Amino acid sequence: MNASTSRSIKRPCSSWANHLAAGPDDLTAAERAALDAHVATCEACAAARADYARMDALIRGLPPATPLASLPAELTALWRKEETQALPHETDDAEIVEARGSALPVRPQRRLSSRSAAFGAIAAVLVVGVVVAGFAALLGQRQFGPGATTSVGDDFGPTVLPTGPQPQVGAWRALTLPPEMPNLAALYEATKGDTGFTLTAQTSVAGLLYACWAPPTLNGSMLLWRSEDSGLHWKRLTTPTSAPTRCYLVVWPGAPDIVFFNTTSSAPGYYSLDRGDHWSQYTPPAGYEKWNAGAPVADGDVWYYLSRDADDQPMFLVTLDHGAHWETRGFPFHLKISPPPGPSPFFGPYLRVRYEKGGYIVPYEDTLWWTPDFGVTWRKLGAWGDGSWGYTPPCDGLILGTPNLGLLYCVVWNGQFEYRPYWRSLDHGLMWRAVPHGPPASPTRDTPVAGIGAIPMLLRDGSLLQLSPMPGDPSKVAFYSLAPGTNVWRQASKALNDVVRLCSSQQGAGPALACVIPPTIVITDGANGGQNIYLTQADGMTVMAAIVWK
Amino acid sequence: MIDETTGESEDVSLESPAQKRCDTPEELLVERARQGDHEAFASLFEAYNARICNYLARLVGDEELGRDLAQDTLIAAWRSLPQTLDELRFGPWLYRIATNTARSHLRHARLLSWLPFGLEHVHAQRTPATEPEPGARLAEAERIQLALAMLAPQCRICLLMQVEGGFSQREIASALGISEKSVSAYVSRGRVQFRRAHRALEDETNQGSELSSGPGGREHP
Repeated sequence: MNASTSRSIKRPCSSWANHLAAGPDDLTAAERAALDAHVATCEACAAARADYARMDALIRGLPPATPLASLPAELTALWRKEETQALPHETDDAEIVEARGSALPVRPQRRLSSRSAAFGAIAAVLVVGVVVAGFAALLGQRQFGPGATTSVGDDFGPTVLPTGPQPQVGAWRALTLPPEMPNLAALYEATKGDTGFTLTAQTSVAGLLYACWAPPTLNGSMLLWRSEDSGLHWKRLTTPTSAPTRCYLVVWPGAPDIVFFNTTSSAPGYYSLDRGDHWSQYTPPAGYEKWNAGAPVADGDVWYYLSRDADDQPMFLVTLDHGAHWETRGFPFHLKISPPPGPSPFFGPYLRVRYEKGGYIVPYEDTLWWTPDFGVTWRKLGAWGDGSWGYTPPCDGLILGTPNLGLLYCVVWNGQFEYRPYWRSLDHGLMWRAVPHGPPASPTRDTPVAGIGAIPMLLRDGSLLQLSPMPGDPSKVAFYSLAPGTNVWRQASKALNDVVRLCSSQQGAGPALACVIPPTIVITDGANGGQNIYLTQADGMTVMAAIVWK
Repeated sequence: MIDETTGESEDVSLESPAQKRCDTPEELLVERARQGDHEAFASLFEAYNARICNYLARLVGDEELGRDLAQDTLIAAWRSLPQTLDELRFGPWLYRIATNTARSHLRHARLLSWLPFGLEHVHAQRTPATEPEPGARLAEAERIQLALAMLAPQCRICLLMQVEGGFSQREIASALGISEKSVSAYVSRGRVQFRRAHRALEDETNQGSELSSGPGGREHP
């Protein structure tokens, strides 16, 4: 067909256009027969079909491109490295690599209390949750900020996997509430769920809990307690203010003895350096009323907020003297799109970093950034693809890791019922490898963990812990742990359905119950009608993970 | 499994590759590669090397760049394979990676516009490097490649995956995360755009030939 004839092609019948455009495998025999019958009687469709065939033939007739002569050199080099290194912790042999000494990077200007120092020595683990849906695409290229940036180098030292006994997660019991507390279930009914009761766990010290009751709708004064034996016994504490209306207790794993006490976001806050025995008032940074500051994050004696500067860019506000002076520290990149308006110092879907211990990890475009000192210095940990579906990324989800980043996990919400796959780095984030298996059974719509995407936790020994259905009986759920540096999953608890049932008001066990599993604590949150279960490790490592039961 | 009474645990037996059901030799290769088998992946490379290089060369309009992107595609595929599901259809999945690799590269490098551009733009780009003599006739292969370059990106991708890759529209839809109806529309639209562009290039060539054979022009072989 020449140019003049091609110009005369009529538009094919609209009702047959899709069939004409279809490939050879797209139509059933009946559909193809119907199309043939139509084309035999329709000049326009016959011409279109012939024209399509001609164009397809033109495209197929292009000289073939010269293929690659061999496998990509980068790939074969990667394979050689895998073979020669033969990392014992990347095998299926469940062999645990012994710690070879501390490789903690320098953490300047730190004044750790003796308890904090001892705590650091047991290699507590950080968890930094990063919600970055679309985050990479939203960030700009500009590098700025006061912090020096360096690439990761030898100063990081060797990978050190934490050691120590793995916490047992199989022994559950219901929490004993303080004796002065009214019946929680009755209170829940009377207050329509707003009991005013809060339970806070210090994850760095096994068994250390705080409880507070500030009845919002009933008469009565606030009560404050501390338990050091996972709630078996409670000690009444004095409250820092005589007229509290609400209690927000905040503790951080990096500061085991410090407790923050806030009543409202605009009222002064209080802190205790001795687990609530004595209280002092602290001064938040200027303008804190505007962004609902709440309590600062504490890591030893370093307290800080993640906030915004005048250009709505993320920054740290840091104090080393309990709030007497605050300084600002910037990030090494610039957000292209301003975060949504609102009082939150965090950055909505664009940037949300969550501190547990060990600093911050923030993904910026294709680079993973880490600051061990809250913005004084920033280090590049690694890079990956641009986050497009189909390849890489190692992380646009949740990053779990040890303080020196020798062991990192990235877990990604799979869009269905769980966090997987898992990516692991044993070299401070420079290279990531996928863990081939998740727990042996995956949640489905009908399993008890459906829809919750139980967030994995990293345990003190480097194990990854995940709540998952039990294979063979997906109606039961249990913890499974991934042995450190291996691809071996083990069942780490017996079936937890009874605990789940006990702690979940939806399943008839009563509202706002709190259950303790040493050293893991599960708390149902009465303020949300028991819909949320908070699950935390009281072994000095991680985690405050929200599980939403649907 | 754990003993309900003692709480003692033992290893959870994970299904071995051999236990998994693989219907075709390719599925077996994919399963082995997923487990880290280099040879299996090398076999998949042999099977798809030419097709992927062809596809990417057509997609970006540059054979050498297509090969570079094919390398990136294969490396990305190796790294991503362990996280894929058992029911993975390797071919469409690999094309999907290739498509995104090309998109990503072009977006970052800005080597080519992903927007349709006019013939005068093509002409300007081609002069003088690929058009040493005024009015010289374009080779048919060049015309086809240029016509492909004028398609809207999504039309070009869908048309090439169907015609060059041999995938059904259902497979293309699955790979690209769009509906079959959209794929059909893109293919139809792509053919219309291709026809127009190709015809215009033919006209341009014919016009050039007439000019070159006229007064002062060179005789075309």
